[in-house]
Amino acid sequence: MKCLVGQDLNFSYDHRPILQEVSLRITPGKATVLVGPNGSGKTTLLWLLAGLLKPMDGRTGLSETNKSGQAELRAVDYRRVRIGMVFQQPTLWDHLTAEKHLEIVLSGKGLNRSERRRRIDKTLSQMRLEGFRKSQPGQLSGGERQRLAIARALVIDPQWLLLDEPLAHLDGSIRAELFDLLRETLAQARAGVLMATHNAFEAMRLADEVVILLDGHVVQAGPAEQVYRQPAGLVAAQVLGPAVEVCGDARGGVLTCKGQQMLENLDMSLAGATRMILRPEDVKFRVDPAGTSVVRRCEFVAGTYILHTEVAGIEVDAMHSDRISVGATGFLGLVRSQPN
Amino acid sequence: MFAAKSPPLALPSAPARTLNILAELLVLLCLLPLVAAAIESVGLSSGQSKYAHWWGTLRGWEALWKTMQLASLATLVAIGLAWVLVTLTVHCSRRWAFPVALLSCLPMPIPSSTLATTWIVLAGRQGPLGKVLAGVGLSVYSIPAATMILAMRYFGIAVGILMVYHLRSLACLPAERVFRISRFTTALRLRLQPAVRITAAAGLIVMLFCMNDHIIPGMLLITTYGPQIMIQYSALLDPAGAAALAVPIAGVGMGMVILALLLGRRCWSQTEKTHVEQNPPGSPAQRAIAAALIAIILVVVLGAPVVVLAQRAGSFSAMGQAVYQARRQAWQTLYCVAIASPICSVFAAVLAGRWVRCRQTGAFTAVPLVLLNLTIPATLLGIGGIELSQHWPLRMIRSSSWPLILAYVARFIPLATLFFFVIWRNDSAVRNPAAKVHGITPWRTMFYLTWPRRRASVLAVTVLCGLLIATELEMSILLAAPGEATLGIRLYTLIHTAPDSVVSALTLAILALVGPGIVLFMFLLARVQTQRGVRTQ
Repeated sequence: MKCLVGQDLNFSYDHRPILQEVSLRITPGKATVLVGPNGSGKTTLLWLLAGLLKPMDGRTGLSETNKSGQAELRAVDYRRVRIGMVFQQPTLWDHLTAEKHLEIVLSGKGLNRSERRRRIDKTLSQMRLEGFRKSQPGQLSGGERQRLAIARALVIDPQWLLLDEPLAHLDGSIRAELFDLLRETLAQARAGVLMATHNAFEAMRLADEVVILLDGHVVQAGPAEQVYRQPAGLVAAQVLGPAVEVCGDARGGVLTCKGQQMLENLDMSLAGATRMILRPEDVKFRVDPAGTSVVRRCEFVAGTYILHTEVAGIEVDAMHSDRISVGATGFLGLVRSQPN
Repeated sequence: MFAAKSPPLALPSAPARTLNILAELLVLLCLLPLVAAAIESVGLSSGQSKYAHWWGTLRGWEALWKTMQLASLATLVAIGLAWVLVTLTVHCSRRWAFPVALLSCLPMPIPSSTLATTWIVLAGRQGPLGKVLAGVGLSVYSIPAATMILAMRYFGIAVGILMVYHLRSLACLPAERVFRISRFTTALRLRLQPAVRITAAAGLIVMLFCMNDHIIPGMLLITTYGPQIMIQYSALLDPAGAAALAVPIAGVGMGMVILALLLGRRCWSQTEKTHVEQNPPGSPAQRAIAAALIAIILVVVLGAPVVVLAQRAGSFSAMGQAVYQARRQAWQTLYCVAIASPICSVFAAVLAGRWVRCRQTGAFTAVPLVLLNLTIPATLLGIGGIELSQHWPLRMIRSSSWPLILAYVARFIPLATLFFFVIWRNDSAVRNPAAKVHGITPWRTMFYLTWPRRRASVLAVTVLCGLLIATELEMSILLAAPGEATLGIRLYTLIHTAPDSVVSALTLAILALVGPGIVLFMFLLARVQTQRGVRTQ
């Protein structure tokens, strides 16, 4: 099985390093999602893999297994390999209709007229654009333009599909609708998918593998759940959702910090200096007038309450099923005994 | 395409209402000379229509045909040059685009009469190029020569328009590359096909400028309609006849502008924005060819004539002598510039402000009509100005410089308004209401918020208007009061009466006066670009 690989990639722009020693593998039939804040180098990495930029160091290639069973990296022949790409801006051709957009990317691919027609019809229908066949980008809404950009990438039956924040400029129901359409489409496609996004929620819903990119470095890669539950560090954890780091001394299932009880319900086997990364859903709050933790704020979010508490000078968020009044005290405890 | 309109704001404040009324009133005043010329052309004053004289016979049609022939040829050359230059430059680096567009426009502020004179000296019978031209059976007094001079003067307009369009079309370049679309298909269907409309629009605008230039064809003895108007007015003393010839051709010009706007409208409403990182790196060869081409054009248009003029003029003292002898005209020119250019700038700011507000709120305004004054021949405005100055209240000032100054204002206000509109059109519609909400008084808003943002553009427009007024000739000939000739008029007179050396010396002196103005304008324009956030890289 051939994989699209970036190996030890380095890239700078105006003497500012954008990517440093980045390695990545895209496997056919699987979706890899690059997550990172703005400016972390996601777009540059996609452009390098698409052959639009040349790495200053490192290489991109197709990884293959040779006769002796060893993996070797061969340079990508971009003229032969079929790469579909959706750009952050739709980059559509304003003078061409939706149909012509698909037709022009199929031209010169050695397909006969009827095959081209079949693919165009299929893709337009798949992306629910049949009614906009003769429409130019200026006559389409933002969501429809983005669907057309995705259709253009899919019509060539890509081996590799690169999606650069495909939903970045959409909001609300249009975004949700297009996300569902994208997920359905990717499930059917045989292509290896690499999608860049800064939306952790969408990333985790779509990804077979999540890659966290921070300041031009890959800080963690792995299945979405693993990366979420076992982050490599606080910054990596915060990319996928709110998280806080606590340190203290663990003993008898209790974590103590600065002489105050910080967390209870720990694994009894834990002992000595302990560092933990906690997400709100990992922490529960037990009301107790003698407790060490004080509720500073209580917010209702999507059917549950988020308590912003303070204990030993550290702010820790906890999920709770009921509203708790500000100033209430209690103890924080782990929902599960296995810390991150 | 989906331009967002601001919600209608609360009732405008009293100063804003006054400015709105003033703007609409200014539009009416600016269009008065055109209306007066149109009335004059009907022959109400002389009691007979002159249209039959021109358009009922072949006379008018021949003049129109000759004009269109020359203008079309010049346009073809200009568009060809612009395409080559833009294609080479735009693929190099965005850094190149702005300076190239500016340098290409450099020949435009040079007076037509100066440019024509230099070429007559350069390629005339005694000039270094004259023998070469004679060898191939041509002379400077021919359509090919006039075509080349007009093309070199106005090709900067085409460069500017095509440059903006091409830079925007680069937004799709990564998609073309990633989908491996063949070079042929890319060139034909993604470059050429969409560019046809904008090229046609640019061509129409260039053609209009070429048609309305009376001086270059006139001095090269090509009988387009411009010289005919001058003959009709000045030699035959028949203003109605001159206006009857000019008005229908002005109609043709307006039609061309409308067509250009219709053609260009879809090209401006693109859905994509170009990003710096999407600009591909250009090859060193492309850069070198582009640089060489620009250098060649500038040397041909500016360098060679200057060298020849300097050789003919003889010395610096001759230049000094020429300026000394033309001191009265020089003062008169400076006087007109000093009064007319600030008026132009201030009034245009009022008009553009109104236009921008109406665009943002979707309200109606007559301000775009003021552009009509730019599309018609300057002589028509001159004739209208003369007609108006014969009636109260302008009759009281007709022997002063004021009719000419007002004509300058009417002529150049459209350009200044357009300039301001282009720069200010994307100003946030809620910026001033935001100041109002936060309790900032209108005067403080004006001095501390609006003026600093717009200072560079106002100064740039003032300098531009000053340059154009200083070099204007068509209206000056018609409207200058006796004894109040401008530098342009003096040069125009000397060409026919004085030796080459005197003409060359005065031409060089005018270039030396205009040169710093052009540099200042470019500097201010660069400041405007920086303030708008349009950085070169």
